[in-house]
Amino acid sequence: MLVRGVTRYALAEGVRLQSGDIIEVGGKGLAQIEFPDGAALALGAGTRLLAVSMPRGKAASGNFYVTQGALKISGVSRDARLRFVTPVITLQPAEGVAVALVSGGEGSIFVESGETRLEGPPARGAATVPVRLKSGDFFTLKPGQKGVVAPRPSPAFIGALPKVFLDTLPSRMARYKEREVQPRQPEPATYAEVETWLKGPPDVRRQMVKRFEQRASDPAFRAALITNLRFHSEWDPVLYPEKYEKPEADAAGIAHGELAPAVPARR
Amino acid sequence: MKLIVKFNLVFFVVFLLGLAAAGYVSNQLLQKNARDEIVLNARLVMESALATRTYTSTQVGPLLQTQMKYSFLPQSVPAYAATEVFNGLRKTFPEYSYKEATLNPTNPRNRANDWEADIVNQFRGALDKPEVVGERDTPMGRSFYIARPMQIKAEACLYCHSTVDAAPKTLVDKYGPANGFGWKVNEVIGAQIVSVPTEVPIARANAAFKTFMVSLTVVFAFIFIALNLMLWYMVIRPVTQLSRLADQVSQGENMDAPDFVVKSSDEIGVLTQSFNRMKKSLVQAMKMLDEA
Repeated sequence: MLVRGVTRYALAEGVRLQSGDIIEVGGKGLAQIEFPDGAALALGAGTRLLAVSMPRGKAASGNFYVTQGALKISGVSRDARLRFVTPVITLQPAEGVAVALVSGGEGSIFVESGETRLEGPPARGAATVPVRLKSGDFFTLKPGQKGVVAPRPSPAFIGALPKVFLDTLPSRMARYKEREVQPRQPEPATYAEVETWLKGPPDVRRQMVKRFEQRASDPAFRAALITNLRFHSEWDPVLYPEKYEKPEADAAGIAHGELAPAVPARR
Repeated sequence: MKLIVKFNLVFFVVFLLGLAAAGYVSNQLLQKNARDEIVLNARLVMESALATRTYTSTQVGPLLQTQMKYSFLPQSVPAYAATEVFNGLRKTFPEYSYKEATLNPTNPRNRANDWEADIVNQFRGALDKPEVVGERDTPMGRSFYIARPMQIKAEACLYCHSTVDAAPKTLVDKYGPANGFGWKVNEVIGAQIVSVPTEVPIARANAAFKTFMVSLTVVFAFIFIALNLMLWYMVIRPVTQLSRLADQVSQGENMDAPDFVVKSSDEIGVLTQSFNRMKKSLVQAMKMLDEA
């Protein structure tokens, strides 16, 4: 599934990814994003990814947010600028091939070849994990524990990976170089389809408010927003704008150069 | 001695000599063919193993390179692939065997036993020896074997077999750090040994020989009976009757007997006609003597 803007599409092979796209891979699916320089990003079943930004250029670059799932990043060159933020850890492949598994507050990364830099999750700080992983290193971070580097991947990790991740990712890009493929079956995105992102970390949530504001007029979407408002209070001004309307006297004061209240009161 | 006895005596001697000569030649030929078949089978198995090794190292191995970083896959090892393919073959032909007998193997199942180690040491002692062939007794019967040396010719082989530290971690995980290391370039580390049963082709040759000899004897017996019958009806019986008549005529008896009838125009027929003319001449001569 692809969510572009406020529309949900069925993802088809050959669709060009854009900044802001949200991809959710189905239960038995597999998605692959290829970059012009030969780098590729494979997403295993159940993976949820937000392409926060994808600047165009020769080298692979992009800032992605992954809430859960399995990733394989291959063919990363030294010029690439890729960054994958997950709830557990932030991954910056420097070169080569890396495989990551993020699930239930636990993160595992295996560097097939090359080198990968890690940072701590935004909420936890960078001190909890090592900075660099080299070829063959296997890093695991479990909830409430320090990150551990092992010389080889655990059988549990290998077993949890999609089988195709154990092989070199095949490239399909040449087939679509001259062909533009549009995503199919457009439908307005429902609350459930973007719930993960609406309830995501604060910086993502803020982006989502602006992006899905127009969907708040949809009764079902609005009802779901209201029900889950405690998870995303940013929506309160959108849902109840009357609460944030300024008194006329204040407005007049502003017009005469007086100070306005710094922040409106929140529920 | 009667003619038929003489004839049969000569026939029997010729038959025995012929049977013996044909038996000797055919037996030699069949045994040689059986030996050739054994050697051919062994070479076929050896070449099939080599082809499997080549296919594995050039085509399968590269495909599994990435997977090998996660866990060691013996399927990518030529020796393993050749042995496994052969194990499949052994389900149908259990008496055949193929082993990459190695003195210091990574996989314990390839460790050379006593007689295999002797062969490996022969190759280690004479590096230019291309092949060793021989026969040995096994619990499944006598077996013919061909062995070829396994020599480290490429540095690439040492990627897995030089030192524990240099070997892929996943390989050490699977087989441990104790075995299969310390190999050197140009060292003979083992031998590919193919064993094929000799009893089956030899038994088949013996069966073919037996069938051939029985068939030959039956043919000889048939010829013997046919020739005897022909001899009896075409020669011995008419000659005996003619002889008996000639005997009577010579004693002046049975002079009025009708001519001896033989329908054939062969030598016996000509002899009978001559005898009938002689008898007529004799009767007329006797009549002329009586009238005088």
